[in-house]
Amino acid sequence: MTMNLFRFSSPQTFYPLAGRLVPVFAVLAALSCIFGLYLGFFVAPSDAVQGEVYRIIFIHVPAAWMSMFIYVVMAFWSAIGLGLGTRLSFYMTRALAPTGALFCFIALWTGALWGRPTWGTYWVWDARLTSQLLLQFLYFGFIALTSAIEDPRRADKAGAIITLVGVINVPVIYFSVKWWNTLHQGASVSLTKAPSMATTMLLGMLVMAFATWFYSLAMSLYRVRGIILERERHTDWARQLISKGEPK
Amino acid sequence: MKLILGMLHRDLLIAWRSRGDLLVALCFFVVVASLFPFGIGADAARLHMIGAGVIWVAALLASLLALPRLFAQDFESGVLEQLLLSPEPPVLWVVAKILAHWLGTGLPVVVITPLLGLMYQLEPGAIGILTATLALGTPALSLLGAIGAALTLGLRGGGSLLALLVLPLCVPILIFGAGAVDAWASGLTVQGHLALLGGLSLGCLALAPLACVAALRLACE
Amino acid sequence: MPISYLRRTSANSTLTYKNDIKAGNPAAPTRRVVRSTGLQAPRPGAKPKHQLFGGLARDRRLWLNALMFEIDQLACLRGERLLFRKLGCTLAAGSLLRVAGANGTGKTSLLRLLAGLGEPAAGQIRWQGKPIQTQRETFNAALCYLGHAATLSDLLTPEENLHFACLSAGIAASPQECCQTLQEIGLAAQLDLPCKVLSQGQRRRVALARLTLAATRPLWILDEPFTALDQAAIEELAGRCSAHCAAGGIVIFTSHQDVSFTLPQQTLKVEDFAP
Repeated sequence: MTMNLFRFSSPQTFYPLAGRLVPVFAVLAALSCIFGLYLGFFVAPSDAVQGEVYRIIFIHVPAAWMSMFIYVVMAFWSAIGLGLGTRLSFYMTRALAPTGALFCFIALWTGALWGRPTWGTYWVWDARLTSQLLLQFLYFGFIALTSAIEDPRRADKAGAIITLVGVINVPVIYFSVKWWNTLHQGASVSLTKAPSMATTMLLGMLVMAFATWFYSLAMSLYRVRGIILERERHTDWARQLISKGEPK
Repeated sequence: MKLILGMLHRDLLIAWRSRGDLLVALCFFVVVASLFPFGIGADAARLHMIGAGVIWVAALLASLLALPRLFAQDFESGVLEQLLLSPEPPVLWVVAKILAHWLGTGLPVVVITPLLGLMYQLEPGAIGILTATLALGTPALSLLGAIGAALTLGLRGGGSLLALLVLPLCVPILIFGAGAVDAWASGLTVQGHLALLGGLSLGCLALAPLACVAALRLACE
Repeated sequence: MPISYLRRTSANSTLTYKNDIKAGNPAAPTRRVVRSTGLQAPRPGAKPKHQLFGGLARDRRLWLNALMFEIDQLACLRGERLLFRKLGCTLAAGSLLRVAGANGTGKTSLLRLLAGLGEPAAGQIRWQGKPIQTQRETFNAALCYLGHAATLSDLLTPEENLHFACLSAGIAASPQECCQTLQEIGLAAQLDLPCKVLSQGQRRRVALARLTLAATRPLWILDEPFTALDQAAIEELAGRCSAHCAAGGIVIFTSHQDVSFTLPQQTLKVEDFAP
């Protein structure tokens, strides 16, 4: 069977490209992670109010940013996939989801660890934490739905639909939770309360944000290569790659 | 239009002939709502405080329990694919179907809420507001739930998956619904809450059927 | 197009066929692209005798001449498996196409694709020259698809089911007409019973009753319509399909049993297009 039978040949051309990009992004991620953590843990000064505890934000904040950003990117690929019918977009959506869920979990976990010494409790029904938790549920829902559907193409599209429904809901959820939170909690401690952030702190956080970017790119491209091979295995080129043994 | 009315008539007829199922869902609502005092104690002040929230959560769970039935029978019998092959736009009958579902499952919950409010010793005014929020909010629950029901159609373990998909989406409705009663209790105006709830329901009415149709097409592929 | 070989026998109005021409030859070699052999020549002077079909000749003129259903380079993926590819076929007015193949070769999948349920992995299906996905409403208004399932709600009576089925398909049929149709096909005693108490064959009959009311729909796609029917009902249905084709419609069906039609029947073997 030849590939020109199918409308979309992009996975074939994308596969080697992704293969070349993965190591680049992986190295960049490792380097910026080391540099960012060095800045965060050794160079940045202690916080006047929070002492050393605050340093967890170098992991927490970039992870939280990334978890939200990845969901938006998933929604973008979902819309492209449903609109144009490109298979690669669905593969990207599915490749991104575990990374997004991971960052979401890291953000929640580090948030709880930071909350214990700062607020005196692991969990506060703070607007950000609660929205983050709901975002985690959305990720879990996506992963559970796509893995529960056996027909991969139905799984792709069902995942895309639920992602789009979710992304419309996320702002509504955020604002409703925020509003609910102010009603119930009064003013809560917030990270942005720190009046001015030392330049090195900001720099460390930015470098760490780049680290999460590169990590997400490397991981999702690595994962999408696996998905492409699995899903395109009935095509000639994928079959050749697989039969060659170690897919490169 | 004819199709909308026909769909409504047919689904209500089926609901009426299987009214035992609807009664079970309603009983579930009442049982869940009346279990809370056993868990947290029957202290009047405490009951009074949590009443609205508990009744809202119970309504949410009851609506979730009834959701798998929304499309399942028609999916298995093949009626759904016939409907998708109708020359009429599918959004029409999907809306009619969800409306019929709400009339069968949401409306009874709204109607019985005042009784539960009495069990939680809410004031008449609070009961009125609670009932109004449920009347405005449960259509949104049905609409959002319909997306989940359509996406999980024919899947193994669809019920728990449905809960995972739908419940996070329902949080804003829960917040504004239960919040209205709290606001009323603390002497604030509740118009904003009711307007937001109505707005959410209308927003869901505008968007959810589209997602639903896409999901149903997918399920019937 | 007069239907000369149709005769209404008596009050029970089952159809019988004077000249049961055995035209379908299942042993005939199949070609990759099956072309319509055209219509059977009408006999001179013959008049339509059957009221139902006779009455439809009026509406039929609209689609008598220019029907065209094209299947072009179709491929179908079921799950991860490629069922068939490069499947092509052109059907003009009057075509009677039997989709043949062993279990699991993709007959039902093909029929569902043809009805517009699902996207083909490759290829196109065109109705009157335009892809069906771009004209869903027009195509659906021309189509009558009967799947495996009987499409009945267990809690509704046959009449309620048939009426709703017509309503959803956009076929104008009053409850009285539905009632009459069901009586004609021999379900007079079951009219007020819920469908769950009907036998398999009776359920099938209720589903097929739609065809009587859908005779104005030019394209019929029938998945295993002959299962669970008794011999008389099979003959009646075969006659109905023949009449539909003779009147200029298109019928596509699958069947595991050999049924004789009064018209030449084309066969499409799905296995021929297996990858």
